[in-house]
Amino acid sequence: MRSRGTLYWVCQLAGWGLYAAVNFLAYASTSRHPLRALALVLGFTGLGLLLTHLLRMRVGRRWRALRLRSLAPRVLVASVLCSAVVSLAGGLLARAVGEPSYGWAAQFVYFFNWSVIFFGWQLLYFGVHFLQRSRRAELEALHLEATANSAQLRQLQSQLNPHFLFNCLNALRGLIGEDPARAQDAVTQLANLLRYALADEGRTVPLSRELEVVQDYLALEALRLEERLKVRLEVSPECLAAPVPPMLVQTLVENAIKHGVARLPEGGELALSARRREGLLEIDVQNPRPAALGPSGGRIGLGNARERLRLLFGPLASIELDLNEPERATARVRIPWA
Amino acid sequence: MIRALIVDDERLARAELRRLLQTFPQVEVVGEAAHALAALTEIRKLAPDLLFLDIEMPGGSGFDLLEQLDAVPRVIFTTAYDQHALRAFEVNALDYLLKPIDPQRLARALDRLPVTPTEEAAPPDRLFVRDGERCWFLSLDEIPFFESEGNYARVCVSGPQPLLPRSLNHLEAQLDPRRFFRASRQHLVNLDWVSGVEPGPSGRLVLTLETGREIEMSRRQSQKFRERMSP
Repeated sequence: MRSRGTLYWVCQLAGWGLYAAVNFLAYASTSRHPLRALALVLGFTGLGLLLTHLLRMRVGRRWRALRLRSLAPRVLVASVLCSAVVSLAGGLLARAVGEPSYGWAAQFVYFFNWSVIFFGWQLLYFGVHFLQRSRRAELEALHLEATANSAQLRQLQSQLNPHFLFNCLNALRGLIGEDPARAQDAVTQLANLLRYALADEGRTVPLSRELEVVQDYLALEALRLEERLKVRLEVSPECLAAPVPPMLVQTLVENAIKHGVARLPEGGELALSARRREGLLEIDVQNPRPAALGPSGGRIGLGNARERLRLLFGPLASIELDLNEPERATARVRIPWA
Repeated sequence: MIRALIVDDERLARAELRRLLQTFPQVEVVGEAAHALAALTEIRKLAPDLLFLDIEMPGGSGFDLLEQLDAVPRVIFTTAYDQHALRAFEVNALDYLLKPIDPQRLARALDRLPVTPTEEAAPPDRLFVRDGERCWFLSLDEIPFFESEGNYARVCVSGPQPLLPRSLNHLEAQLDPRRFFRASRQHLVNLDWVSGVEPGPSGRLVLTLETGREIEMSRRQSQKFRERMSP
């Protein structure tokens, strides 16, 4: 607030100072009474300063909030009124100091000039405020959008399928009696997966981190699916550092199992590959699928992932589900990678 | 002794349920099946009294399996998280167990079954039917007649009339012929629902059901019906 008040006074004094200086020079060069000229100029300048300051004090705050349509007529009327005051007072002043060149015609020209000056002042004053306000609104909109995005991202992110979770716990319960050592490992793997899914890992993680968790997830799915689940990993080492949104690859792998491998009585092979191509990180998750697609068609989980990618990386990122092969499905992700 | 079949695609889930059932001497696990198709074979072979049935399985859900059966045993559904599927059942308050299975809930579900099938009258034959999202059991007693719709059979009861995924010929062969009579190519009638028989046009008989519905028999079946009814 203080800085804005200071700015106002700097502008106000500089503006009127400039006005006074120019007018004094103009008068002084033509008049033979420099003292009279000085008195006139100071009088006019003081009046202008006073009136514009009164404008700011009386109506500035209220009028700043108005729309242009309501503001424009008020500004015009205020310009004319202020100008009338200055012209009248100026006429009296001129007479008081004995300035002879103040006839009716001159008075009218002055009145017109002052109207323009007051109009210009208000144009500047409300213009500056308008600019400030629109910039503030823009900032607020940006901030809102960012907040919404991060909330949306959080909501889109943590979604371990409860069906998987409870089936996994059930398998664990069976495993405890059958193979306690393996059950212990499985508890650790489940803990890793849950921690990763529930914690805020940030907007992106290195692919290597995501793959660690995907391995844990696959180990747990293998408990349930046993020999029905085969996994092939082909990740080129340079890709391990690439940034990916957490749980993205996990979602693809989970989809591939849920809609593919788990639906086939004899199971099948899930192939996960990642490579760099033309400034993009390309991740493929391929799985066998039943010839007839279920009602969901395996697309539901991808809708969320797609939205997340868009929010994080913009339009260059993409997810496609390729169902052209009759008995295989391939989910392909492309992420910009500088 | 209740003879039970466990149907679940996960070996560990089957093993865990088997282990839980060891503490219930009244239940004997006679077999296991890993998917719907295998279960169908096992059910026809073993004729179990009770199914422990997983809902989500590869190659057909538990519901798909039940729909194939002409006489549905007692069923206890086992499911990890199929809220959607369970909602379809609220009206019937069917038994289901959530996995991992709580031994006390298992005990309660078993208590609700008739102690032994031989002790009471044999449980009424029943069908499992679906209509859109809803699914329920129907006792054969409740069904006045079936109507043929191509390879499907419409169950003609009051209220929604679900379709069964098999032909009228198949049903006729599977159901008790003393109770269900093939009136025509179109209709398989439950004789318990017949309230009157009238002679119709050109030597055909017309059956009146307790619902008020009239069903015209074919000439050949009218003849058969007369033979059956004559002392």
